[in-house]
Amino acid sequence: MTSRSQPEGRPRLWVVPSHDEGSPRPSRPRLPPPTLDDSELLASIRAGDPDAAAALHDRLRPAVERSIRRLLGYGDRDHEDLTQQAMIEVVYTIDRFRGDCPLEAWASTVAAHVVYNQIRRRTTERRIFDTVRLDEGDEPASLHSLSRDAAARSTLRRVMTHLDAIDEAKAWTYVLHDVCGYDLREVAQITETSVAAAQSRLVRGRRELRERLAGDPELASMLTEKSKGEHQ
Amino acid sequence: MTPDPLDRVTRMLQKAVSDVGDVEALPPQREAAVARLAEAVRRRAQLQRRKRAIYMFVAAAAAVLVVAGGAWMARRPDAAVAGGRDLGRVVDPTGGVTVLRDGHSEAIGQGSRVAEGAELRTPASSEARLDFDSGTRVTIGGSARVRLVEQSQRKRFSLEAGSFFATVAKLTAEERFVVATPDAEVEVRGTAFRVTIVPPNPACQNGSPTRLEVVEGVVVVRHGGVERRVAAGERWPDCNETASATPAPAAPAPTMATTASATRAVAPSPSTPPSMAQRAAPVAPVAPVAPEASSRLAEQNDLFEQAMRLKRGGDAPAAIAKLDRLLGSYPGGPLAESAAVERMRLLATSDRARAKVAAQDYLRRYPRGAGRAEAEALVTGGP
Repeated sequence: MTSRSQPEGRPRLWVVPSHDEGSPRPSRPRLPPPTLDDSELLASIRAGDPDAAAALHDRLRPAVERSIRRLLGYGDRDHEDLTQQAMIEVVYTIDRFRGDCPLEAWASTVAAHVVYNQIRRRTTERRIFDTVRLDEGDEPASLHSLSRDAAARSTLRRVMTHLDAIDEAKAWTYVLHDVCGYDLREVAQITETSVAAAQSRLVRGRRELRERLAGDPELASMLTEKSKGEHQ
Repeated sequence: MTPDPLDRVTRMLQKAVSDVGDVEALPPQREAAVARLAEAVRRRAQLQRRKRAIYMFVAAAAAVLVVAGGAWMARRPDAAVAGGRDLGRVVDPTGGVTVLRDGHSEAIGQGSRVAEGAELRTPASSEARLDFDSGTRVTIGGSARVRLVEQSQRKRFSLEAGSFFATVAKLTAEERFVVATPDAEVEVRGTAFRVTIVPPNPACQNGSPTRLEVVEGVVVVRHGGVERRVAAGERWPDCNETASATPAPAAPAPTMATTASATRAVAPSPSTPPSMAQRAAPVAPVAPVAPEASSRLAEQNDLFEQAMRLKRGGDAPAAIAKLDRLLGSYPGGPLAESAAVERMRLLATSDRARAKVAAQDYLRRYPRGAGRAEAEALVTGGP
């Protein structure tokens, strides 16, 4: 667990497991190390060998988890289902992997696509960065670091209102590319569009968001306050 | 400088998403997750096998359709022409029509099929009609001897005596219809015509016994290395002409002399088809040939005749040399194709390698030429 700098005048208690100085901090069990290299793994999956499932799971689960947590936050109620869904999607789309990027990057893209579809379906009124939107006083379901900071959450919620106000496709493109770090090709794959369309959405999304943010002086002061708080 | 609010927001969001916790930790329900994944691997393999089976079924079904389509095509009336032999069927024969096959003569009757290689003979005052699957009809007059040389897409008849009337169905680009007489060749394109062997008349076409009358369409006649188109209402030779379309050969064609002695020219059969008997079309005059052109034609004729004479004399190299000179001087002339065929034949008897090259060249220049079958046989190394 990491400690965060606290806003001035607001003490906060952190529950930290006690441990003796010098003794190794107990850690959770780790995923087993890989037993097959990528080419062997892919060949086994493509050949329909169910025994390769364990190797595939252990190899790609971290990338899948990371992708889902970035978009929905850690501890989301649908997290486990979405992870499983994304892993299965990796199996069914294994033939599309051409080896032109690392296997983890491809799995991460598949996972982001699963989240994208989940949110678009709006079956549970899901929205990106959903855990951040929790109101003050709500028990945070997520251990997302920022969600613990009320001021940060407040700022984020304000940013979310602007993100929600622009076209959904542009918002997604901005988040996936500028925030999560996917390249345009991956963004196009995730959002099921062309690279050219993704680039166009990115440019327009940035422009619209910038205009909205510039027209919100209250947010500007919140951002300034936050910035001051971080430097202290 | 005022910082860009978008940059600040982006950095904030990046920081927000960077902390994802410990993703390397063993998930609590790993076994169940692996089991579900294994099931997905099995199901994917099953789907792939099913897809492959569907593809193979579709491919097999397509193959069956192709085969069935081909069989259906083969059963079509004209498929005999397209795919193989077009056998003539005897219709309404009058008495005494015989067919000579493999040295044996036998009478034929209504509905008999006459195959390639057979020779039909009709006594005087009789005739035989052959109906082909392609729609072509041939009527052979009395005292006739007609051999069915080839009966595939290329029909070739050899008329050695008597008369031969044909109504030829429209031919495709691949088909040909040729009637050869002892000294001429008549080729048609969807037409009706009559070819007769008559007693040679020295005053008419140097005594050629061949007479051609065209009822419908256009017929090409080749004689002495010269090709002539004869249209409906025209005859060949037109012995009433005051000016000849082609110069007379320098020497009578040996085949004519040979044939005149060996063939008994027979007057046209009295049982001429009504349309022929009623026909009295005027003969169109043929434009005279300019002197210069006439001399070039004469030289071509001379070279060709000399080559043929040398060939009959057994001097193949000399004959080839003559043909080479003809082809070299007049590569696009009216005798070029015939010369190429003869050259190919001569080379086949002495130098197969050169013959093959000559055959390949012939096929390139004349893909639908009269010598195509021979050329193809030389190229493939067949007999």
